[in-house]
Amino acid sequence: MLEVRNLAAGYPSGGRVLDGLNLSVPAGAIVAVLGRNGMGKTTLMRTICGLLQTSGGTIKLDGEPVSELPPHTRAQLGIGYVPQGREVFESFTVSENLTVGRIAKKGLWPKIPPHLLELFPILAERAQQRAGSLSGGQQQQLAIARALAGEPRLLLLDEPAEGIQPSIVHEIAGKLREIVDTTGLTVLMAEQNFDMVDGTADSIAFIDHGLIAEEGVAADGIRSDKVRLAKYLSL
Amino acid sequence: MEFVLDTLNYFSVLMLVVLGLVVIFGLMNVINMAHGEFILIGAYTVVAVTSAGGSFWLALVIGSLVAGLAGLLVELLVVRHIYTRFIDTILATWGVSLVLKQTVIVIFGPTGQSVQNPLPGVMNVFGVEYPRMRILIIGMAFGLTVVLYLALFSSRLGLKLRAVIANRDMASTLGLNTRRMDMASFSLGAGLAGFAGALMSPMISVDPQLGVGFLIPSFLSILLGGLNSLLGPILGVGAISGSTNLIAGWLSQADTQVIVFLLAILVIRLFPEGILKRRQK
Amino acid sequence: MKSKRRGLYATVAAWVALGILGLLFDGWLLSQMAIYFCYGMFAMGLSLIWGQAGILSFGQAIFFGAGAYGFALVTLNKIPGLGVSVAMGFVVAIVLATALAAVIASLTFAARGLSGAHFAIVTLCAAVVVETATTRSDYLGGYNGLFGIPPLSWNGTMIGDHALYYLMLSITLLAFLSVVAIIRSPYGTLLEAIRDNEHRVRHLGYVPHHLKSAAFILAGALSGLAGALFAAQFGFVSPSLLGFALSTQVLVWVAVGGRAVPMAAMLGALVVPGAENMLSNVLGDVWLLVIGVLFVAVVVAARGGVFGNLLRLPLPQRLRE
Repeated sequence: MLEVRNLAAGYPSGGRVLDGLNLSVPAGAIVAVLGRNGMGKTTLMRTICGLLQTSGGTIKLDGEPVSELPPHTRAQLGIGYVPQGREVFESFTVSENLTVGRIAKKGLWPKIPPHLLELFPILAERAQQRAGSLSGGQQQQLAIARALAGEPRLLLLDEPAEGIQPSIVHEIAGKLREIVDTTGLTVLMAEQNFDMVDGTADSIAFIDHGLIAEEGVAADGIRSDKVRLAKYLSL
Repeated sequence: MEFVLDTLNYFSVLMLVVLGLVVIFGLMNVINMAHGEFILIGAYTVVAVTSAGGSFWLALVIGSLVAGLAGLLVELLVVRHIYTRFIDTILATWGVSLVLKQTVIVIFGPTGQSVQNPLPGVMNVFGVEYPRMRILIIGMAFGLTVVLYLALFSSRLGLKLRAVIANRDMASTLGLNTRRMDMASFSLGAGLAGFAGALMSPMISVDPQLGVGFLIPSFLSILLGGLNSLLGPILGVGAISGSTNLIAGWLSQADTQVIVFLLAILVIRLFPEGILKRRQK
Repeated sequence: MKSKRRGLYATVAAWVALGILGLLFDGWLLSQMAIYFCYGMFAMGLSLIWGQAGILSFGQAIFFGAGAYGFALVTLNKIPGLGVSVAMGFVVAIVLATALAAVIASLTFAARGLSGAHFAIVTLCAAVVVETATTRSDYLGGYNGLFGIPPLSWNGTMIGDHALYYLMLSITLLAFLSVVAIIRSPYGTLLEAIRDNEHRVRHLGYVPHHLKSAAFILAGALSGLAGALFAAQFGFVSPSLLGFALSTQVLVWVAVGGRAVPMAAMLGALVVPGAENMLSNVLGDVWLLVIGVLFVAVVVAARGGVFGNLLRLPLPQRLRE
């Protein structure tokens, strides 16, 4: 569903972070990208959604090349993005945040669909509150719901468990699995937190120095895979 | 009462000018030094249209459109190439203002022109005799400001605009075409300034320095209100227009200008974030 | 190696050419050229703060005008107790400009300081305020300014055109060498670092606002000297010398010449008003349109300016690898 081939990308000031990265994400699956800090997880996410320009290689979404397109066009084609640090519009209300996630999409009625609010009851409850007043876990749910409001085919999640207490992480993980199972959404998530990966991800790809070192590793039993954990996460 | 009306008059016209500046700054982080020249374009379009026999009301519409079109051209030809280089945008738009002003001088000459007042006479407002044209200016400019603020905070387009201002990258990943938003806002902001210039043209001497005269109070208003707020400018414009009219009550225009600018600089030095403290990010 | 030295050769050649120019002309044209050297010094001051330290000031004419007015007040005997002395005129001019620069620097850079945008707008307003206030002051001659400033003389005789030209050329050369010495010193490197990243300089243990203030005051002093020399040659001063218009004109000269290279900035200040003088008779108002378009084009597409790349000096020895 998502095919990344020979991807090279980096920042204008710094050097290349990714150089020749390959990754495949099958439709309807949740794939977790694991790796230490600074190995290129966030760069990969930002490059796929278009905030960083590619300096080489291709990104294909359902066979269609998107690597030359600006971010808003990729969003129209069905890439949803939840950035690290959530980046909800803090001065907007919760319901305004959700509306922004939907409002620009062609062919979607701007009204927030009820099933989305059923999935995240806390957001329905606080619809008129300022997003900045929500807790970290609630903001994370809002960021995910905002991306889902645009009805994407592929959802990119960058460290969704960062700074969130374990019980909420489990709750979010469960909801994510439920959405994927019922709607056929494809998810690519960058993570270091096993609570998020365990029980949600179908397979794991390990990223190391800007390359995917291994992909398609089964997520079950990853906690006891001492060799890989030591190699890729220094655990 | 006359003080209130005079202040309201200045406030509403300045507000139209400032609104465009604030949105352009919020969206693109561009300080548009050429903004005052769009006022000029609006006013001079009225001069051209009315002297060719057109009515003032037609000229008002054409003036806004011409200024909006000029804004679009400036965005396409200059601003879009440099909006990531902050200091250069100040310089380049300053250069654009020189070019626009000089173009006006080449076409219309350096001396002031006048526009016939379409609404002569006075009317009684709350016990004061006040020129009818000024009442119209207040009504239209103030009304438009209110409508624009309502649109900004409660329409879907306003929501999109605020989203891009709040977080440009995030907004683009949600499918918002930020470049198109830039162009539209730049053009709309220029059109509003042109409308302000066209609207007040019968009450002033239309001369090439008109733009600069408005530019500085506009910038001071924005700095007073804080650069990062859409509501701040209302306070800033209120402070500038109120104090200007208050001091003008007993001092000459030049002295008033000196005092208002000095006060504003002092306040900006004391509150670099604006009178309204910026919300925490 | 050859290309690195090109800037040095070009700079020397430019000075030699300026020296030869003094032999080719005389009379009114030569005295005009001598006056433009004042603009040249003024431009180098701006190049120091803007090109080197990244401080964009829309109010540099305040200091140029302060120098001009200071010189005029002393030589017209309007400051009681100082007498009529040219030397004292220069002292007062430079002290006044320096003091004003220090006041503005302490108001704008101190503590957390104003951002670049705030600074640009505040200096712009300051220029308007100073100009307007001057027009309202009878002591300073109001709108009309001050007339009858005596020309520079030596032992009672007026300095001739050629002598004046070479005197101005020498002073400008000295100013140029001083500015170049500053920007090539370790202090100059720090200013450049502030331009690129003020926070990082702070983390290295320096106090950026002291460094910036020092540069701003130096530029103010140089502008004051230029203003005094201008008044001495022009014979009269008016409020437009310390206002908004001249402040922005010097920005145009420096941007078109090349902001980061003092020699290029100076040539911009000689060439742009010089060409304006010649071409405005032919082109009239259209000339200003042309220079406006050129200015925008330089800012958008050629940040080095017209002469910047040609006249860029090689890096100081200590910064070479």
